Amino acid sequence: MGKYLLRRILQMIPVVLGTTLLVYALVFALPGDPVKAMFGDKPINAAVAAQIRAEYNLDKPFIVQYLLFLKNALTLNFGNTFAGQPVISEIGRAFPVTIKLALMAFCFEAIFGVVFGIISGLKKGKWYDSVILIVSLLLISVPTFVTGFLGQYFLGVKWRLLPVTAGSDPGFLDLLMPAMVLGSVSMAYIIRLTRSEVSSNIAEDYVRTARAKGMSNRSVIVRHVLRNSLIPVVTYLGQDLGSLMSGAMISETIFNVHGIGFLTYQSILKGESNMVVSIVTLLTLIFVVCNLLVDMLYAALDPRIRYA
Amino acid sequence: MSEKNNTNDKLLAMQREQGPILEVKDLKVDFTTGDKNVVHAVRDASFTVYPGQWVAIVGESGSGKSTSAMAVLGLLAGTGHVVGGSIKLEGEEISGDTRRQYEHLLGDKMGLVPQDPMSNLNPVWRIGSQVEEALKANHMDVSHEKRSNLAKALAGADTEPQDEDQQADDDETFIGSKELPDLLEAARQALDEAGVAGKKAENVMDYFTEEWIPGSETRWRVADDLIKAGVAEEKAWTIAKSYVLGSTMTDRVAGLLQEAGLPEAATRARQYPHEFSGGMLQRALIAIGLACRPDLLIADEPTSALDVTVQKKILDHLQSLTNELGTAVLFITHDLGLAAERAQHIVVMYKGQVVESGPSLEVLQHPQHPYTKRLVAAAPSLASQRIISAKEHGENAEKLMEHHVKGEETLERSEHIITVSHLTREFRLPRRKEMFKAVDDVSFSVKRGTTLAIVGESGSGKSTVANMVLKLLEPTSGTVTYEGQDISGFKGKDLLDFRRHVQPVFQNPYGSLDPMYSIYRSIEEPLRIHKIGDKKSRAKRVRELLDLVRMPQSVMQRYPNELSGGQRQRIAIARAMALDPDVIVCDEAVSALDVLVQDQVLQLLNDLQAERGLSYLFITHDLAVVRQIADEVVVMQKGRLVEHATTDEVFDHPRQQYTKDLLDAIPGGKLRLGLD
Repeated sequence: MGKYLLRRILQMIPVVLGTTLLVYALVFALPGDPVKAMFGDKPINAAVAAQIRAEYNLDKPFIVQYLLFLKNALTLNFGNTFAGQPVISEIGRAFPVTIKLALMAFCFEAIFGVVFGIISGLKKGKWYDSVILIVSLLLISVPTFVTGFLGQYFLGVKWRLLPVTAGSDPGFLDLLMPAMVLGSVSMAYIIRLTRSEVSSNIAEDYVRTARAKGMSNRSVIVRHVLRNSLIPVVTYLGQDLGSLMSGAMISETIFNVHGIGFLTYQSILKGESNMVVSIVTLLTLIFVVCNLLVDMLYAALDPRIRYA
Repeated sequence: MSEKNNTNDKLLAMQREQGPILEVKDLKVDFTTGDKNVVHAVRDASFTVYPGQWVAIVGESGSGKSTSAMAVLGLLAGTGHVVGGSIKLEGEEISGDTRRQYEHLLGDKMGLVPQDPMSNLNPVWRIGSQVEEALKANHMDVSHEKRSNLAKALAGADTEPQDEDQQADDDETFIGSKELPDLLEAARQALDEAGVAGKKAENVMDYFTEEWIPGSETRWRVADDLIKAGVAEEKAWTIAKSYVLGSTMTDRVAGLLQEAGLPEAATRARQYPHEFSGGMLQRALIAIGLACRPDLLIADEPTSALDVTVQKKILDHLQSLTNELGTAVLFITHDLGLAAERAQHIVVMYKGQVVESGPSLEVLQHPQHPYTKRLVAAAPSLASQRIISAKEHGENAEKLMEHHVKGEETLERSEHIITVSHLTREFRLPRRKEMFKAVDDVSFSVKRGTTLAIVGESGSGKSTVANMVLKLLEPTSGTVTYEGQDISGFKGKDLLDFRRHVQPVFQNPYGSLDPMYSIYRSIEEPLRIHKIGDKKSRAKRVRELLDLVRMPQSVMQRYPNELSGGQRQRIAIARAMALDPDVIVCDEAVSALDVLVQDQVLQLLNDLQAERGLSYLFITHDLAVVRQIADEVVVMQKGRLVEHATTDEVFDHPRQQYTKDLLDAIPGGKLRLGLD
């Protein structure tokens, strides 16, 4: 187990290096000159522009820029934004908001997804099951920004139940609607996954054997149907936590949540390669760690899985 | 002997007095399929089980035998439901019971030992906890043995009713693992005092250590053992009473598993199902089925997924356990021989109906219904002779061989088409330094136009040999020659040519046909790969092949999932025959099939051999099948060849103990039949 863990951690190094290089190249290849953009409508002062270029290493070839970034990143120095703020403090301000949002979305999709999925799987074929299926299909097929606007219109404007946008320092209620919108697609997938797992597990031979022991219906369902059905659901949820952190870009933009997704979007527009690459590196790390945790969790839940 | 008769008489009297434990009358079970069609799975089935009796329901798959059993248990799958008739358990009607009412009956009144051990235990729970569930669900007292009604009644008739009930109950207290060392120590001292010493005392102590299993052996047995070993009666009871104080849940679970024949049960109970072999899983399921000492055990093909040797051991064990406990058993099987050997009463089902029922030997010797006659004729365990066509072909084959020898270019061909010499194959096991020898120095040869069978249990290396003969696996050392050429050198065109002449038929007809390919495409594929003929001639060839395996040409456009197991195996044979091979390697080709279908496929193989002069290498664990098809037999055990002789020799004069064990394991082998 220890060896396996070490191997997995070592595997992260090339993954992180590869992603940062790729993202750095992508930002570099973006059309437009960030320095020119800084001047906006004002005439460009060549001397000042050259100074900025030198300060941000923009005059050096791509690969040198990348290596310099890496060197600094190793000492946890991610550089400054063009506006002069340290990148790390910008991220530090945005990240807690995103974590809050992602965790709320996560709880929302886990609780409702699993509960509806179980009920649907146990009552397969009933009207109730059909309703859940149709709703989940709708949530999957309608894009997030549509769900978002619909939510804003009905919950926010028409019925005035929840705030329409979140703003810069959002509380629980401010984030409730963004979290629900963010988690809605995954919730629909979880409903469907849980439903199909429950309904196939309930027909397993070992469930019949359990009934033949004289166990009550309740304990048969809990011990033999739910325990087995939730293994794939839990692994899906684990992986989804990573995508919730990074996939919040659309919801954060719609609801004006000043989180990581919002920050990334703004930085891409400004061509702030340092900022974008730093965020992506962070997200990659979160993703890889989540994946590792999911694999560990999988081994803990299913005795047939053993890593060597 | 007289004592035994006495017990039997008592048993019969008791059965008459108590009445049947299970009485099924005119049972009707329907399944509703997707488009509202109703399938009558069971029609007017009636059968009766008396306390302590083994009753077998025999029939092919789809005959409704398992459905009847599940209806009794109230565990019908999916859309199945009882639509008529009555099911009485101990005289009470239960067919209309709700699930909640059934929960009270299941486990402690009726137990189940299901069919497929691999799928009947939940992979995510430890074996022990799955046994524990059964005990907990029925609130079993884990520190005392519960005796079945019959056992109580018999014991009551046996001895004068003991002082008080309380007293008798205390005698049924189990040994606990905590007190076991003290108990053994006390026993040793008592033996010393009784003057039992030296070698004899050692033996007695060994016996005690082996027999006194926590959670399984009771106080009165301990006392009994001590008295038999020479300890004074009073002393024996004192020891038993002071050291046998009842077992914990863990002890009881281990005790149950040990009773079901699982060695080192206490350790094993902490393992997960995937760490067990099929035989061990089935023992665990038996432990679960009997955990709450039900009066009726329903055993639904409990051993059909297992090797014959394991099958015999498990059934022997189940039989002695149920006899000891006085449990009645409703035994579902497709093998009439097995049924006749184990049960006192046989019920034959066919297409949902009971077509015949009666005492076992009666049914076997004077079958009335044509279907029963067919079953008797087809049961591999009952065939005392090889299939007639095989005998005929034996001569044919010789003629064919003569013919061949006279033919041109065959002069240099050897008599042996496949020769295997000093074949060895090693595998590396995880976390082990030394290599595991799956096949160890095996040599034999297949004569042209004959059948050589390789027999052995699973794990004996027989399939590994088959894979090496097919060149699907490279040997570690040793050679396989085909027509005198070493196959290890075959590459490119030679290899393709070799593949054309040596074809496989595998065990699982469900897995060996691609579900996405139509039957036509499956059979045509080898022709296409070897670029034989054009589209038209290939279609013609496929039709010929279907005729050859006696399948209608209409199946060409159908898909494997629309065919039964036997039909699929025929398709697999047709595919193997497509390229006119000389050798067919059948790896357990009939093991997964029902007896009747198995019989048909074997006939087909025999006929094809007679017509085409094919040579077969036949891999199987079932000696009964070997007798029907093989000319020569090679017996393998743990990767080594232990016996090699003609079929008759092996059956009449087996030389190795292992071969004798295999022969003994054939179900129904010892029954004498008055067949005409």
